[in-house]
Amino acid sequence: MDKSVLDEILRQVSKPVRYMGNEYNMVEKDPSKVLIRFAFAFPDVYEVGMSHLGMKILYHLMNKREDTYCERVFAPWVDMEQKMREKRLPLFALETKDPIAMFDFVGFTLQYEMCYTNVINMLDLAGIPLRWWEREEHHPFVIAGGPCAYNIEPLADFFDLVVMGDGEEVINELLDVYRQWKMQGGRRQDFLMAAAGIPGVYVPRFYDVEYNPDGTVCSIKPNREGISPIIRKRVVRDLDKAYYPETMIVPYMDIVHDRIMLEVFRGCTRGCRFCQAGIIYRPVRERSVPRLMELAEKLISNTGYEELSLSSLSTSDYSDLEKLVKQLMKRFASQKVSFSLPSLRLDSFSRELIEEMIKVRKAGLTFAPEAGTQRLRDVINKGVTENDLLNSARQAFELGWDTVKLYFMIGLPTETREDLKGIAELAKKVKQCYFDATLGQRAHRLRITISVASFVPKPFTPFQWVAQDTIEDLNDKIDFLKDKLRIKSVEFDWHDPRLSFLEAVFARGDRRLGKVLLKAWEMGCKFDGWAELFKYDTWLKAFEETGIDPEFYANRVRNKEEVFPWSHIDVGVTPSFLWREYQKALKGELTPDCRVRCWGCGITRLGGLCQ
Amino acid sequence: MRMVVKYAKRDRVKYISHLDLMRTLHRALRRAGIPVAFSQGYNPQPKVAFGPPLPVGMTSEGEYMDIVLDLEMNPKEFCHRMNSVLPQGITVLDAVAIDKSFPSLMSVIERALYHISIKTPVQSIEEALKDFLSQPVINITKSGKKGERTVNIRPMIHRLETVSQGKEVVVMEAVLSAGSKESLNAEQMVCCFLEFIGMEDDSHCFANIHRLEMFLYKDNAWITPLELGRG
Repeated sequence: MDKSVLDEILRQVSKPVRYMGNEYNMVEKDPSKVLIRFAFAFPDVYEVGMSHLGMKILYHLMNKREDTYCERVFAPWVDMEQKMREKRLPLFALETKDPIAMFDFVGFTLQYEMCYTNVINMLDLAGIPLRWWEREEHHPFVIAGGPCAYNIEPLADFFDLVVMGDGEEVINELLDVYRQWKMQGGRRQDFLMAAAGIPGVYVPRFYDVEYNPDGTVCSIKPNREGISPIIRKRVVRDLDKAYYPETMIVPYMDIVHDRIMLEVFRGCTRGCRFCQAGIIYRPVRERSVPRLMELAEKLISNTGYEELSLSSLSTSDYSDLEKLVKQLMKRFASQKVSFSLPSLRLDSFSRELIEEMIKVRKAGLTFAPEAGTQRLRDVINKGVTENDLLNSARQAFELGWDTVKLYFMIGLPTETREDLKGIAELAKKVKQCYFDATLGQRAHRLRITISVASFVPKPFTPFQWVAQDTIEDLNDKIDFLKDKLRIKSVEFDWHDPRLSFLEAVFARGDRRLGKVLLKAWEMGCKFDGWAELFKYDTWLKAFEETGIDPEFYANRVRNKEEVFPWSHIDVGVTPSFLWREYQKALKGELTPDCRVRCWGCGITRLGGLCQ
Repeated sequence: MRMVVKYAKRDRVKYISHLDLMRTLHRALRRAGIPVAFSQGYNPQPKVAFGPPLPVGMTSEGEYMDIVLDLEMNPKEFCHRMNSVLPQGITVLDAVAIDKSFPSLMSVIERALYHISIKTPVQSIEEALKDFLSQPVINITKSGKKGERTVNIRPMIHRLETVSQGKEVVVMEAVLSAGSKESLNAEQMVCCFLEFIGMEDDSHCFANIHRLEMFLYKDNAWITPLELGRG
């Protein structure tokens, strides 16, 4: 690439450091000495993508291979895109600045539905034909992984293959198959056939979808010999033995999660019924304290970060948390390294633990009661009581916090006005806790933020059958809350329900949505998750022009027998368990933590051993 | 102990902001195992103070920072350890121990030396510079927190002359005010000059602005912070 053109452009765009690379611990290799060039693509801006743990793991894992050079590429912000198109500068990888169109693989990680138009836009910027059938022998294979990959159907036209499950379990097998294919010099199709033989690899073109007259899916079947009718996700069995990077790239700019991420465990045993991550990342697998200490030691000395976050879906559930935190503090507090727990649960918030953690630095505090009443929290199996919340809040205030954030969802199944009122009641009670704890001394500093998102029914959850509330309903509920939450020291913010509506459409969408995505992108949609760039009216036009009814996907109740667009994907947890959980939800029955006893979700079939 | 450190910020890192650079150096200090002193309080910060910030897009061989350590350390050892953990493009050039009473770099540094390369078809650039500098007042509009204000930059240009002229690129040397008293951004001055000779503020014109050194005034002489440290 002409570096002087890039230099000229970088002078004119906002945050040029996004496109600069050259960070500490970036991997440098001679591209002419590798067989496989892999572009790890994150379909959002640098500061979002660089905060993603999966990328850090796979980047360093792939670069351990002598035959492979993995580089990074992010979605350029709109000003950069405009300059690139003006100067005909194709999308390039940060490490070498080489165009990704000349790579062997472009691998996207799909973290949320509203990045789908960015995937298309990045392929277009790279000069890679958008749909798989338009690509020729010399083009890269465009592949995907991540939570949204479990229902890839809306993007099935754009991807050559998709990986289900823990990427570090599959990627080396995939690269080995590719290596062999490349050295033998086969055809594109031959590689895909070989790759489809790897468990957890899904090649959408090898399956045909048939539809019923009412528009629902009738069947999804392999269209050739030797292709498995079911694709089962891959699972790392032993996290202590699994690869974890001992170094991480240290960005220059302030990224969203600018700290070391130390993954203490994967999976979650809580079984919240709205939560897709809680199902698809099963079973729970913990790292041991000695292994975590070893990793922390290396990561701190190799990155120089001042903060380390103990990551997982629910870190306070870690079996040896107290031991781990004490050891970390003992070893690293003198170096002024602080520790954070990103996902604190209300019922296991130990005062001693928090006192330990704030010795170095005090981070913000967030709670997620999710629903305003006990009845609704039972429906979603949140398993948290009002007392849990209030006790935790009081302790936090006693320890000197004066800002807390509470997350809720609206539009949950069976929700009534009472449940919404409960959100405001809870806010008032938390406020009262503050006065009790501080005797009103620091009253002017108190800030309670009530953050509300609209519920999005997701595949592979007990609520995969339910209808999402309509946008009108959700807006009414927000107005109702606005009124109820006019409380001093309480701030109310909410996500745009129109965005949640589109999320719901694509989360449970099928292959027919590919043309909507393409149309919306052609009409200028991108960065849809960014409020300032979200073009809802354009989306509606795209649905209209392609003759697709979005409400069919978002606002329709499914019956028990319906074949889902993701019915051929096996995440370990069985549909019958999910249905049972759905029925229990409607009756408000709880399913306790599966550390208490096994509820037969089906994950053990994958050889998983839950603790 | 306290140390003043001279470092370079080169082409590969020229787009990182001053804030980014600070963070980068803080983390490098931790990687190098330098016993930096920390401030007290809820959010302890390393005791590192910086000289006049370098605007985004410029390169430099003459940046300064001032560091307080909890333990004694040989400045040569400091340089060596830092350079083994810095990203490419940032290099520690030198360090000297200084007295605890040494004033802050921002308050003592007054001037900075630059090499400015511009692409221009204008042949008589020396003449143009003379004309430019012969103006008694050169007003520019600065936008700050209190809105826009007009500033006369002529007194902040202490030297401005060409040092080489190739076919396309002219290299100028400039000594401009820098520091907390008054400060002139070299880029703003160049824009002002380009406008004066009737060329658009055009990115095509810019090749590079490179800072070489910074100076403070002591005992009737302009000296560098390192020289001050060495007494």
